[in-house]
Amino acid sequence: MIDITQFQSLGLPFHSIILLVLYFIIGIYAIFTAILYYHWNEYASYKKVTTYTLGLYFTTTLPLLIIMTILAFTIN
Amino acid sequence: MLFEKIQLDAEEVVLKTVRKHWFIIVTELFGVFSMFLFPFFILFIVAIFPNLLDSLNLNLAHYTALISFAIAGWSILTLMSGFMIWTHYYLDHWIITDRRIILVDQVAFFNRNVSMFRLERLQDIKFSIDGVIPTFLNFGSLKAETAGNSESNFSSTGLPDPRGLQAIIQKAMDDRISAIHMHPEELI
Repeated sequence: MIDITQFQSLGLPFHSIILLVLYFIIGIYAIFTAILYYHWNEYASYKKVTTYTLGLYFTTTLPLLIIMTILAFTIN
Repeated sequence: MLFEKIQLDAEEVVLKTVRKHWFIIVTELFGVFSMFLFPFFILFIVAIFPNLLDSLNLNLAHYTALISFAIAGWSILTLMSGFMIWTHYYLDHWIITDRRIILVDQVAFFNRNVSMFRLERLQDIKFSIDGVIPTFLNFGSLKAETAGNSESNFSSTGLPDPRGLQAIIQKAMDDRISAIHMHPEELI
């Protein structure tokens, strides 16, 4: 049977690749969130819409990010 | 907030705020939603036809954590795309007041411009509705030319009811010019 965790790219162990992917996504997420937060606070006309949008953004993405982080440290 | 930045005049009245037509955001969000569902669709296909993976001798049950990790990552990226589209849609808009047109436009995700055009400086305003769907749903582009160099011209696509919008701007422009003729000190 194929064991895909045995594939090694660039000589890195599989767990390190998973962690790299996680850090990459966290990095993109942090930059994107900062820009999103700035734009909604600077250019939105109504505070209520800003609150709803940012609230929805964090409630949908943060749990996924937490799940990813937990899984990244459990995958060997 | 935007209105603190713009600082409308004391007696300035907002006549209309316009965003792109709903069809624009629905089509864009539909694409993102399809991408969001893509891994679930693949899993669904694999669940219906388990023999597909027999040739690879691959048992997905052993990789539940890895698959969940990949799906979570994919979901975050597609959700970010969705919020980017919503941001682009909601924050880019035209504010038409009885004295000027304020155009909030996103040049890039890092860059958003707020431009203002005095109605008395407007020279021409044109609209166009091209295509079957825009004609059916009544949306199109609007181009305004101002006195001065061509850099101060502005245009936007996918605006709802461009004909009505043109009429509102034209009327506001005529009213503004009449007001200035009666009270020239307002021009200062």
